[in-house]
Amino acid sequence: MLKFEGARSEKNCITISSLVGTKKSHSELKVGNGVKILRKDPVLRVQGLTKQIGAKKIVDKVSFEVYPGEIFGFLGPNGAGKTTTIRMIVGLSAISEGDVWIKGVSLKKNFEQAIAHVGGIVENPELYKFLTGYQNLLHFWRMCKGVSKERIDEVVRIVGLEKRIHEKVKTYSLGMRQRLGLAQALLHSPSILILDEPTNGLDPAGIREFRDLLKKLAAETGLAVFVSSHILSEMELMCDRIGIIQQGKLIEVKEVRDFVDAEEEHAVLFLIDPLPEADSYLKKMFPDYQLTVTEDGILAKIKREQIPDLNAMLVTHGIRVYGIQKATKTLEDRFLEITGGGQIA
Amino acid sequence: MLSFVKLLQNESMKIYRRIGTWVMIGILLVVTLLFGILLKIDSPNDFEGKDWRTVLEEENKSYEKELAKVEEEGNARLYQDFLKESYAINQYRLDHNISPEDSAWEFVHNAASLISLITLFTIIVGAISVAGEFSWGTVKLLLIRPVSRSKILLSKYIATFQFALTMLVILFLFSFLIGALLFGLGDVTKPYLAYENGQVVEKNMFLHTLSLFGFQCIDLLMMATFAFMISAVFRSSSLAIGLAIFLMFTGVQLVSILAAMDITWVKYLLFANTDLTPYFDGTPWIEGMTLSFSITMLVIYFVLFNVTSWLIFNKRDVSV
Repeated sequence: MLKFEGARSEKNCITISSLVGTKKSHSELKVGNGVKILRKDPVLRVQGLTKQIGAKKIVDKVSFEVYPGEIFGFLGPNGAGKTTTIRMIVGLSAISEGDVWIKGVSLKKNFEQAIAHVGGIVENPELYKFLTGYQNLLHFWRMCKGVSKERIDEVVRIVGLEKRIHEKVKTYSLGMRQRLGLAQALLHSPSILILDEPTNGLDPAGIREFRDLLKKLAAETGLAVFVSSHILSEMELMCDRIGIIQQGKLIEVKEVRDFVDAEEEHAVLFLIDPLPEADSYLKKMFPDYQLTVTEDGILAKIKREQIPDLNAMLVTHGIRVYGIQKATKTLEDRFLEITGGGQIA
Repeated sequence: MLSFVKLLQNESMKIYRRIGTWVMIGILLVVTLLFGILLKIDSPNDFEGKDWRTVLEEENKSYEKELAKVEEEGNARLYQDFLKESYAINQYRLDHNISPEDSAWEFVHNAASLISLITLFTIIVGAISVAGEFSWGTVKLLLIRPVSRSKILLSKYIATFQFALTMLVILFLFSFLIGALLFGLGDVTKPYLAYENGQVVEKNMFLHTLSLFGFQCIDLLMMATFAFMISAVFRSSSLAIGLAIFLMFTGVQLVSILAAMDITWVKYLLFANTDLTPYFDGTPWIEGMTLSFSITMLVIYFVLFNVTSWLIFNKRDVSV
């Protein structure tokens, strides 16, 4: 459930959604009694952000907004300017042009006030290895204002590190370090989390765990998450919206569903036996369909509602169907299409 | 203000939670102890069974001979001064019946030479304090807090010198303890003999030892500040430590060589000015150098080092 952190949150609750009605789910929040509240103001607003080194623009007029409760993915091939953008947003890199507003506060003009709302991990969560997990959190706790010491225990619980928190970080696995990294980022109850390649080096179970935790935090506390990655399938599973950056320019910002469901027809793979018989039968029955025989079965390009029909036809004809797979055009395909393939390597 | 105290707590935690720091403290204690034992074994206290008066008289005879020889050759001004000083002090001891035998205070006085070890350790701590954050990658978490970079740098700088001060106190107390154990407390009221403007002067031993520590600390302050600057500029602790230690050991040698060659611009070098004791107790490197000149030079270097670290640390992008 959402915990209001004093006036900070209330200021941003502009209207009750029933008055507006049509807003997308990412800007809606559920509060205790189920009343939906809409936050109209973006937590993070990036406007014309540019990083110029010499004559080269590494990041070129990037603009976007991230709203409360939303997980925003920042996707791009290596060297596209993802990390540079993130470094500018958290103040590690100087901004050449443009500005970043966090909860309406300009990062350029008022760094300390703006950054107080940000929790971040830039690339790997590198913590003090010679300190215990708890001492690391204590260290960062001392650097934020107005946070009770009990909050340290609270974030330790959130990330599930209670058992090992008093051990030295050098004994931690990468997954545990990632959790500790997240704990330090959540310590001051930020309004936005900024994570640069957070799943780098994690094993599949770790990635899943991390993803679930982020989703939970975003849904339950209205935390906005800005996450960069080049692991495309990962972004697809985690994010609400995705911005694609290439050669320093933000070329597209879309809802994840828009990316993937853009086409009406899907490629559906039917795992069937016997193959030749099924092929000739289907070709006879549905001469208009695009059918391809593959190693395992038949790939059909059909609309969603045609899937059960086709299946029924096969079954009644005595053809054994072992499985039906939606060979969805993944975000990866779309991504490669947009960024022109070769760039990613 | 309160927030700054917290930053200092953080930096101290990072210094004292590292094993390396405790190794340094251990080394300081062991070296002080060994130094004491070495002095005890090679003790001038027994004067090969002779009375100390006889020994000093013999020494002075050889000083006189040596001095006459060197003066004839007409150079080696520093060596001449050294001979004159040693002669005068021996004579004063004989005249006023002040034994040269070691006691606790004199061991503390001797142990002040171990401050160069503390300088070395402070260089290491200071260099790691800044560059370590970069090599550990933790700087990315450190600088995304609602605290200005200047404050973070200042807290590191102050914590480094807090460490140095702790080490100095440890050295002072521990060497007094070792001195008392090995050489006995001796006559606590015994004065220290200084040579000023061709005259031997009696000075309070405790104050003299403190001032000796103080003078040694100028070198410590300057070298640690230098290492701090290198580590902020190049973000490499090994470079900062290496360069600072190299200069620490060769700087004074270089200055003494250049001074012996009567090259006058040598007085503008940092190392010609880090040792202020000659102005109080002996003769300066170059004739015509004054205390106020040296202090001015030190202040200039100090400000230069600190402004450079601050500018670079504040302005440069973090790209680890």
